[in-house]
Amino acid sequence: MHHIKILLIFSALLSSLVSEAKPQLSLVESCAELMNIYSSKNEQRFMAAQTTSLSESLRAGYCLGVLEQYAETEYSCRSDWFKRAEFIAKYNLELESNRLSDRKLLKLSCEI
Amino acid sequence: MKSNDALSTPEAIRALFSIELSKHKGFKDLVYPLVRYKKFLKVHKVPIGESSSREQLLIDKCSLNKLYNAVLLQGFFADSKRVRDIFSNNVKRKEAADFLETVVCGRQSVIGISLQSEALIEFISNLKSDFSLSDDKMPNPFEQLPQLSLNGKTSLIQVLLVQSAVLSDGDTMMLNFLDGDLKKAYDAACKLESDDQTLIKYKAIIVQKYQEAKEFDKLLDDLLN
Repeated sequence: MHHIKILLIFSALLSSLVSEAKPQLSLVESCAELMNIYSSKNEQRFMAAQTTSLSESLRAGYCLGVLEQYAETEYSCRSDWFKRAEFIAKYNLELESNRLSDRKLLKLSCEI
Repeated sequence: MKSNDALSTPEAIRALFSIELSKHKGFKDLVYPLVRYKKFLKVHKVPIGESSSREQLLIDKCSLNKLYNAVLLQGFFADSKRVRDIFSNNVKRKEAADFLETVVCGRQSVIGISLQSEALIEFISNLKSDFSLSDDKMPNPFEQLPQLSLNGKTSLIQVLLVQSAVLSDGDTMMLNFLDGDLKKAYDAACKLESDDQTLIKYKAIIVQKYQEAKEFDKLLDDLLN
């Protein structure tokens, strides 16, 4: 009985660990972080490093990576990454009720 | 309607410092952000009148000591974000204590602001220990709050920064670092020659932060090209 209990706890723990191990980064939020970093950089020299946390910069890097990767696999992507990131970062804020998938957003961002 | 366990901002400042907030606009502009900021003080939203939809923020009595300490810290640092960080972030709290110890301690006064050295020493040691800034009052090191006496300049840091001619490189380095001007802090750090362990420690921190920031700006530029 005791062993079964331990086994149950262990497997519950394991499954929660496994689900947490999946990346939980939102593309829209990550691209918003990226835009925040650039706006603080434009505000004042050295400001970006002083106001950006480690996790914010990791998120921003995620956005950049996804955008670059998407552009490489799609022939029709003509906008530069900054414009696409700006578009994605803004998009959801304006239309929160109308949520698009990341893939759809990436496709739209290539068409601006 | 009004609870006995909560005070309006002017009432709280009157009770804590015997100061009429309405007579000091500069001070008022510093206090309100502390009260309005969510999750800093415990506040209650109460409608102003029956007909009005406006609400007044009342400060819970259990937050009065925290407000008191925050106002004292504002006398040195002005910036309300920095002041709030001192309550929640141990690194910022230590920085504030180190700054007061290396730059402010030992000065009898900083133009226009008289300091009480015994209270200041206790104030610094409270900051360095695990003294609860939210529950217990720190001693008041000011004869008069700087927020009241300075024209336009509302904190000791800002007053010190404008007298740069009489500051040592160590003072300039610490002041600019706390004021968020990393470039000026770095320039002073490069000139600094000192045996003071605290200053040497901050010199290393500032040089490292400056280099990181420069590298980060460069990376951000490179990514755009």
